[in-house]
Amino acid sequence: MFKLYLFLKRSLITLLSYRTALVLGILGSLVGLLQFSFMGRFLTEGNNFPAIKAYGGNLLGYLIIGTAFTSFVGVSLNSFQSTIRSEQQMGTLEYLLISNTRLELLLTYSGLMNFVSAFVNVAVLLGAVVWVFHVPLSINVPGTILSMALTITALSGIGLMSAGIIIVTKVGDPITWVFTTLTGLLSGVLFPVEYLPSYLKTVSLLLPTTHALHALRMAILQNASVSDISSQLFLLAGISFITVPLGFAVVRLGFDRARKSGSLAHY
Amino acid sequence: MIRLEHVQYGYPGKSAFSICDVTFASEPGAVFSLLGPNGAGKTTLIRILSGLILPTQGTASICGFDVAKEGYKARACLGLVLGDERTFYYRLSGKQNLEFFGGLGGLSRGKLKRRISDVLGQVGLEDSARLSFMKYSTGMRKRLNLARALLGDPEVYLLDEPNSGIDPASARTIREIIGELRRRGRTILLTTHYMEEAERISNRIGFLKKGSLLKVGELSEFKSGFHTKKLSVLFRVPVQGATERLDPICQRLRQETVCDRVSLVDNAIEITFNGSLDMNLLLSIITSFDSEVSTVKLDEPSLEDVFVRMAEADYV
Repeated sequence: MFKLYLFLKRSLITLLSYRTALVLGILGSLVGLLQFSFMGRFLTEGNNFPAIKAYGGNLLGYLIIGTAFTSFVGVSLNSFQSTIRSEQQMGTLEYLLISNTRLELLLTYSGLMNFVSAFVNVAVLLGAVVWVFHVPLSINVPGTILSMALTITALSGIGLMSAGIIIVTKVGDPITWVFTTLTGLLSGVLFPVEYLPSYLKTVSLLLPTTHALHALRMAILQNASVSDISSQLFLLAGISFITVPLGFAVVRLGFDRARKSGSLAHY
Repeated sequence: MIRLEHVQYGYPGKSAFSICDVTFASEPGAVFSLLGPNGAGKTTLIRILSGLILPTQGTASICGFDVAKEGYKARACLGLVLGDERTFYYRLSGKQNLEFFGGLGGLSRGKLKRRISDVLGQVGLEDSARLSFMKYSTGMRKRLNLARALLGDPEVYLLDEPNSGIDPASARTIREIIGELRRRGRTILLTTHYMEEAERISNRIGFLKKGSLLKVGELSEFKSGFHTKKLSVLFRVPVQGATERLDPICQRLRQETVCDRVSLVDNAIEITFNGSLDMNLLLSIITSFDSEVSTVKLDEPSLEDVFVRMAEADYV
């Protein structure tokens, strides 16, 4: 029993020492609760689901696109920081940095595989949706590819900023957490944004993920062409023009700070 | 080729500088060994020279390029071996790892293939080239680390403890490669805790302590600068109660001669001293042990003796 006590004590001390992670974890649970309460309201509508009529009205298709989209958001936001962290843990980061390859290219190439793997996962998921569950998809290929690519690009800029912060702070960064949580709660992943109270609906419309998810659903479920979803695509392109250069600048600043503090290899 | 001018560096949150006003240079065809106790700042200097740490003040340059301002050019003529064992991708083979890092270093596909074959042969890993890195022994990992630095055939090598924790055969291979690089006119900065190794392969030595470079010079300058000699008295059998009897001897020697250190190693007493030693006093000490003397030997100090003396807390 004493050994059990020692293990529990050790785990508790460790848990309490990561205060940011602890607070974010508790908040995450509360947000999850909120998300399911909105979803509950949405599901009580019955079998017709008028709120998703614009996407064809198929609940499974609606939810699966939302889930696949969340994985893209996660990859875009986390890919760069997880790449840096993993290179630090393997002890290879410093050797990458002294190779004559630009930092921007190192990060882009390192993270690329995560995106490819996310694309493959989504393709498999969509295949399963059609062949196993017989969900009627009506895919516009250029619209789908363009909306996916622009979503990834716009969010990758934010992911880069987060990587730049994490290389300096070494601890869980709030940017990724806030963005992932807000996307899950407010972007219409599991229920339409119409179910949100008006003040949250306003916040929802400010999130690029809300527009990106709408464009993706329209392209995959309603055969929406590039011109049909052009306003969302232009918005995502505009956001990309801001976030990507800014992201690279923050990463470079982060690396320079870490070189000054001698903490490049620390994690 | 390697130049540090008034380099100063302090880790954030620490009041003292980790590197204090260090200036030295090393030219082609030379092995410069940086010695010093743990925490002296040797690895920090290597990281500054490779551009992984930015100095607070001063400049560090490689092949004439400032590592902070012209990092790409400086790194193009640099081969780096950091002391950590884990600096490769575990699931990739030795050859695949070299291919990856060599390719990033800018080697073309054809040249890379030739160089990988060359350097694997140099470090004696050609038979293990296809083995995944995680199956490599410590010695093999260290040799692969050196192989990576050799890939681009750079002008300058920064080697941070390339031989630590490995078997004599691997250590010899690495020493031979360093010797070969020196003969080919490459500039090498080496940090090591193996004094014998530093003695064997270095042209010049720098002694770093608490971030300050206390002395730079050739090996002979280092030894002669101390005017220290070592007298070893070896008894045939271990002396009974020698440890207890050593303290009063130390006190007498310190009072009456310029004595640095008296120590008991197995059945030998080693006396390190400056200037001359009173032979009458020495004879009286030897006879006081009532034990048969096997040999009495007077040696020049080894680099290790110099190191220990310099590393002592009161040495400035």
